[in-house]
Amino acid sequence: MRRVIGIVPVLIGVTIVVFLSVRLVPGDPAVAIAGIAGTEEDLARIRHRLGLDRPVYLQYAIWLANVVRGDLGRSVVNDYPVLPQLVSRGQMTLKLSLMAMLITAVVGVSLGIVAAYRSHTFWDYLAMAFAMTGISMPVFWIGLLLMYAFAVRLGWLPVAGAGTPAHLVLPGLTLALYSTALVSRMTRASMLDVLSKEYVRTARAKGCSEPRVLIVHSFRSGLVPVITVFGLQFGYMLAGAVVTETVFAWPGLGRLLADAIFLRDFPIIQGGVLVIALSFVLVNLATDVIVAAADPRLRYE
Amino acid sequence: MAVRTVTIALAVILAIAGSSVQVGRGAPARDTLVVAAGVQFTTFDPLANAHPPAFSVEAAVMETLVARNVKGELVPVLAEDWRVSSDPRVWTFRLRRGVRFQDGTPFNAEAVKANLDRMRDKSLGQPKNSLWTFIEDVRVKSEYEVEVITEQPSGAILALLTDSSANIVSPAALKRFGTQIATNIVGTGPYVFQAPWAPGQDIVLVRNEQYWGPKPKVQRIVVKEIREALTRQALLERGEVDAVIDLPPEAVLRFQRDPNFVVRKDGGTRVAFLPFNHSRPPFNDLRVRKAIHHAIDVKAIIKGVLRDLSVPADNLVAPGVVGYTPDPDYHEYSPDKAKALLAEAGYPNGFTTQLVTPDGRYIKDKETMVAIAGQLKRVGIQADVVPLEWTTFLTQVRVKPDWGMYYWSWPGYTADAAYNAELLLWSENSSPKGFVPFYKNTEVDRLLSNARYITDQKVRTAMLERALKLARNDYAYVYLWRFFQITVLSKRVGGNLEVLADETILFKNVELR
Amino acid sequence: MNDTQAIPQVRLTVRAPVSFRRLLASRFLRNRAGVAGLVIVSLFALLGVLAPVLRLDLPDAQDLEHVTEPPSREHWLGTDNLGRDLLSRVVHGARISLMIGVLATSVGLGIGATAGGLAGFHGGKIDETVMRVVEIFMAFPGLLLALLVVSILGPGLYSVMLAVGISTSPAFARVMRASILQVKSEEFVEAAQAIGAPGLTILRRHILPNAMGPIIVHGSLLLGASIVTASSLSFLGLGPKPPTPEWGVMLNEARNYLYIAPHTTIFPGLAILLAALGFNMAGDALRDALDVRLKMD
Repeated sequence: MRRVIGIVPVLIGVTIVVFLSVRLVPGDPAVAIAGIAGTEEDLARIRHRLGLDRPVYLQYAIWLANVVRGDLGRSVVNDYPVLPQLVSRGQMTLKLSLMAMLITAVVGVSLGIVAAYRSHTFWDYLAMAFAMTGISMPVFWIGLLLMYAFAVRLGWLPVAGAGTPAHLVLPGLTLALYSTALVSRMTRASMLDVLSKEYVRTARAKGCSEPRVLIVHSFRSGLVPVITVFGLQFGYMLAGAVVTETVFAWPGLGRLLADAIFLRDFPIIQGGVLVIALSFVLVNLATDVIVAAADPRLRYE
Repeated sequence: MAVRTVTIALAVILAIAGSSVQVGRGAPARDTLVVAAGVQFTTFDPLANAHPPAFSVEAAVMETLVARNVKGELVPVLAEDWRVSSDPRVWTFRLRRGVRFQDGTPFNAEAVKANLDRMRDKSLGQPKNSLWTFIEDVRVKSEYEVEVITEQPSGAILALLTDSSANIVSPAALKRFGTQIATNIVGTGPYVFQAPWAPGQDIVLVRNEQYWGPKPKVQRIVVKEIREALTRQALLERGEVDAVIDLPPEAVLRFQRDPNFVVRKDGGTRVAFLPFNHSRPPFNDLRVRKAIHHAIDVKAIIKGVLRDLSVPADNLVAPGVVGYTPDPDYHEYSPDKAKALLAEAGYPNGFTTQLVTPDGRYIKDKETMVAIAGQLKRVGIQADVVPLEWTTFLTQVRVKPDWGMYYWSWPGYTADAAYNAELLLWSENSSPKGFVPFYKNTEVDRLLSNARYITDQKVRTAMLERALKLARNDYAYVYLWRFFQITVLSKRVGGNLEVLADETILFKNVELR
Repeated sequence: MNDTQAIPQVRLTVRAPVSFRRLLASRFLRNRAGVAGLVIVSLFALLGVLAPVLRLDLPDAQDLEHVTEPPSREHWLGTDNLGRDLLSRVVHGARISLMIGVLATSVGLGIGATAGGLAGFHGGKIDETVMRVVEIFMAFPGLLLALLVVSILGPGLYSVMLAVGISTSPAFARVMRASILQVKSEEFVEAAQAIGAPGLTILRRHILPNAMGPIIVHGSLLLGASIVTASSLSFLGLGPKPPTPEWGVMLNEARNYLYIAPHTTIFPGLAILLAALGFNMAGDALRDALDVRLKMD
């Protein structure tokens, strides 16, 4: 419970950091809106319309007060309310992240388990080679290569955009690669660790069948560090999908935020970061809960 | 058990992937034209700062009183004819009858007045309001006649009325949506904008069955925002889109070699140039500017970097824009001449400076500037290329360009040089008020300010031409190249795709095979 | 006399106590992947150092007549989109990319390890405050944080390094803190405290050397990741200024040529992959070596 309350100061901290840093970026939002048209007076008028001529702390106070009431403001470029945009784009990113997490969970964990069981054999090396490569490649590169191979050349999947379940595959794979590689490595390391522990040897000696050894005895504690990494990766995905979203024209939150930064669309940046930070913090909380449930020894005190 | 879970999950993933093979996903429906654009769409409010792809959407949904055709001539659209009274400040427009907005509101003088009043209402704080403040009053003379009174006689009013900011929006919609008109435009045009629309979504345009003019053949148009150039290319190759309106030169090359695609090279009114800060040495010396001009091998850059998708530019505006005059001897690549001029100006060993450029805004902006820097190095000028993100660039250009040299490009807005010239050559608009980099030529100033009030188009044109010629001789800017507007179409697209001087694309005469 | 000859001589080999470093090295070297990684890294480092000396065309020499040409005798890796020799650019890029990696990691390490160290060592209120701040920065979307930093500082090599460094520092903080907490509870620390040794001495002589292990491992893994992150930043439009031959920038600028001149993308991409791979493999082997040592205690 204390943890839940502890979230609030973190979120406030995040919003303050965003608020300040976004105003430190050189470039005038009024200019971003006005472009090459507009005189100096127009710019002043636009700044006034956006409330940018007030002192920073006042702007923050007003914004915070509105947020509490559920009003995240309006985009400065087209007056479109921020919250609906965050919701619809956020849903898209969530879909993508879930797909990526599914792939990570299934492929990553299986790969890690296989590697652990067949450690130091050809399969182990193959799996780990794949994992190593996966964490050493830039995301956009992976995405473009996958697109070239499976969409352009082979035509098995759509190139980009959203709409059908098939559209989820390539972006999902791209986003999942890093996490899958990471999770497979962690799973292998963790499982190796657990498999060599005494209680596992005891279970084997007792004559338990292999699957039982695997699931009942090793899984729980073996997967703990994996679950932690899992949670972190999910959080990273929610916001780190910018590159994937750009390559595959996936209308997600990451792209919205990156665009907002370039346009100096303060309300969207502020609202968006708040939402992402909130989800990240919630995911971490959930991870801690799951971990504590899985292994009572690791309850966070 | 774990093995079973894994198998099931893998099966699920494969099923998802496999489902795509059955569904004929990809190819657009028979009656839909799908277009991919690489820019960010945020607003369609005519008064907001928008850029050519947005103009194309606006042009499909809304119309102006007068417009330019492909040849650049003025043609009547929502106004059937017009005349200026003996008092050159009063213009009377006779409006087309029998036209309705897409929401049913009748189009009449009241509607035009509502729009013109909105256009000149500075309190709105919209970027393009200041374009229209020269209008003093708008009066409804009869149901289909509008009187526009300008403060001073206006030479440019007709040209301005072809600008996208003069798109006529339904007054009922204006009232209903207020500031959110940006995402809910309603006009008189051949296509209806499907609202609600949020940035990032596909833009859907549906044929206006009540359109007053010839009905377009294509029933539905979808404009997709695809930021990654390689993705646009892939989509076109796979037939998932029918047209792409901006591609990098190397992608275009690939489609040029493929008989399944048509590469359109239109327009060419976007002129790229190098502004100098005329207030500081060494750029305040004409010889230095001339030297830089001679040091740049424009043709080599056009061939090697821009892959012949541009042509050399010899004026601030392009052919076809009022005020343009050619200068066939403008480009003379001569590093020797450059070095001689530099020595004469007191820089025998060259000098060091910065070359600031927007980053990713114009085709190959960074690459071409790096190429130019390489050429400048050969005559002793060490130019450090500084790419700036667009908003930062624009802010600093306006506020305090203490850069020596930078890169910019402007299309032929309103197909009339006055627009660009006033903002780029008239010393009245020097920083921080505007973008003129401290260039001042009193004769140019005089010509430009007088041209505003001359309604005799012949006289006015002559004045603009002369002003631009003077600026060219002054090397106010070094003109580099003109970009073609490239549209790549799949074989499916037939009919007549029209591209206007300000890069607006008209879809209304397109057909699908 | 005869008795002694009858007794079989048993040779007892007494090994002198092996230093920690030598043990570490021997375990590291037994890991084939780790050695491979080290070799790769050294190769790149060597290239980076020698680049200015090697007789290669200037990486900035443009030749607009010969853009994007495939590998040939004059240009072993071909030319890029401005006609520059790809081989020299990739080689010079080694220096820059390594620099980015090292400096970014140092920044992250510096900030993160200091914060984590403070938190772990002092505990209590300081621990709570510092970790709160760390949580704030962790909750910040990583790439977006880097984007903001680079936007504020303007484009350039140093902003990229700083941005990547800042975004990795929360992880370092956590690792350092956990590591210090673990070591703090070890017996020899308690022993030192029991003798009455001053805090700083304990920190310096006992805690830090033992806590550094995980940090070093994390750092080497992050080196590879920094190189990759830097190239993602270039993709988003915020990288070092041209004509810097940074691999990520090169990969980016060339990506539109993927379909018509793939070599311009393959070579920089391969370079990134190999360098990151090298660091990751070496870092992994390092971790394994350290782990084993800990186990033996």
